[in-house]
Amino acid sequence: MERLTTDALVLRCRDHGEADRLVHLITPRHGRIRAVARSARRPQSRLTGSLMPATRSVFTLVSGRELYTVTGARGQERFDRLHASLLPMAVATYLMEIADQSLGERDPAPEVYGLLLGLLTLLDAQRDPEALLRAGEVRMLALMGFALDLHRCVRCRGEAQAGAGFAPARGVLCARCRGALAPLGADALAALRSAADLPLPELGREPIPAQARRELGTVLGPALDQRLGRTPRSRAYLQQLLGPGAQDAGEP
Amino acid sequence: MALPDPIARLMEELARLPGIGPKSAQRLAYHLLKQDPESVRRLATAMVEARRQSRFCSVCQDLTDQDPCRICRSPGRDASVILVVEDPKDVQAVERTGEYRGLYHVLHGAIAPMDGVGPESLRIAELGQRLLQGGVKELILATDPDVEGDATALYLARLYQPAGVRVTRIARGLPVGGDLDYADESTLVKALEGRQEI
Repeated sequence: MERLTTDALVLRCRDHGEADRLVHLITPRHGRIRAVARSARRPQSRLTGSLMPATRSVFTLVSGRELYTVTGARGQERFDRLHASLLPMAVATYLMEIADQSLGERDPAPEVYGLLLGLLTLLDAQRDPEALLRAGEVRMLALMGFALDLHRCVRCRGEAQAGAGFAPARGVLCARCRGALAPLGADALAALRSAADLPLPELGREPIPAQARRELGTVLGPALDQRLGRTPRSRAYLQQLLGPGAQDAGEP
Repeated sequence: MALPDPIARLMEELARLPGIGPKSAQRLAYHLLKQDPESVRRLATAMVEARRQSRFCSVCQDLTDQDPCRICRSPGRDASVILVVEDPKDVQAVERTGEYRGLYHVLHGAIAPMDGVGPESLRIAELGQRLLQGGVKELILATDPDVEGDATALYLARLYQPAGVRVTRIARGLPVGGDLDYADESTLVKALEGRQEI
């Protein structure tokens, strides 16, 4: 029986058995871990607050046959403003689902952990949720081993400028090579490049212009679906919030 | 040794119930088999009748045997206030307090995007219809204080606040009779935020 004390972000939490909860955690050194928190649904449980998705805690875990058991948790970051905001929380949920689906059990993933923690911090700081969403999508793809080429045409290697198209699994195609693909405007192309290239603390300072938001609405999803082998279930809800007029959805 | 078919089938059905695993199903099945046939028949009849006679109230969506339900029909209730809950069990919990005199609306769930449960899966359209009929001054959002419950409350607030309805959220904090020392940090923070003058 292995005992583990680790920093972790809660990706997912659901009811388990009569009064327990099953949590999916992402840790810096031990990757994704599933653990049972016994009696955590009882009002007197001290674990409840630390099991909320999109929170960071130091967990003490004991390994079992299939699952770990949570024996203690000390809250580190609650991200209160994030939890009180509709669209930022939907973005966080979507990115956490992608991480949950893409990581194997106990595969160390310090980059994914760092990216998620950084994005949650920025979402909590009320940075533009849609810019952070696109950054999360582009960077998660890269961490899965599928970095997109957003500067040069993936077919002819010529420079890609406004009017370029987007080939889901690879990156951009210049205006000559894109064929029937919908063209991306200069703002959309710049937003994609910022999503991939800006240092993490700089992300989401500038909101994506409305037209570029519409253009980017559907380009990254298919690339992720292809890599994950399925569509994240939380995308439908996120797209509903991002629909017409959704730019005002940050605070209800 | 293989179980006789009727007993195996009974255990299989019992094990489908929430919170009942194979071991508990076995215990319940053997308990039933020890009872006299009349008490087992009463239990079976109660289950079948409860299912047959129960439907959703066309107004509040709570489970009822009469439509509209007793609470929605009661002239003594304040129809200008609607308390929104996730589950019919929550209506019973609030009713046990004896303090609330308004009406209810049961959503039958909460927004849970990772489980594929969006607003369209809940009884939100029916709540909108009630508000359109007018006369409602306050919506009290009493969804669970977890991520799904909070998302649902935020969604409803965004939907109905612009319509001029007062939208409030039930308070959260320390349980009565609880011990401060045993409260987790999130609960303590919420309790501090919701402090009141005495």
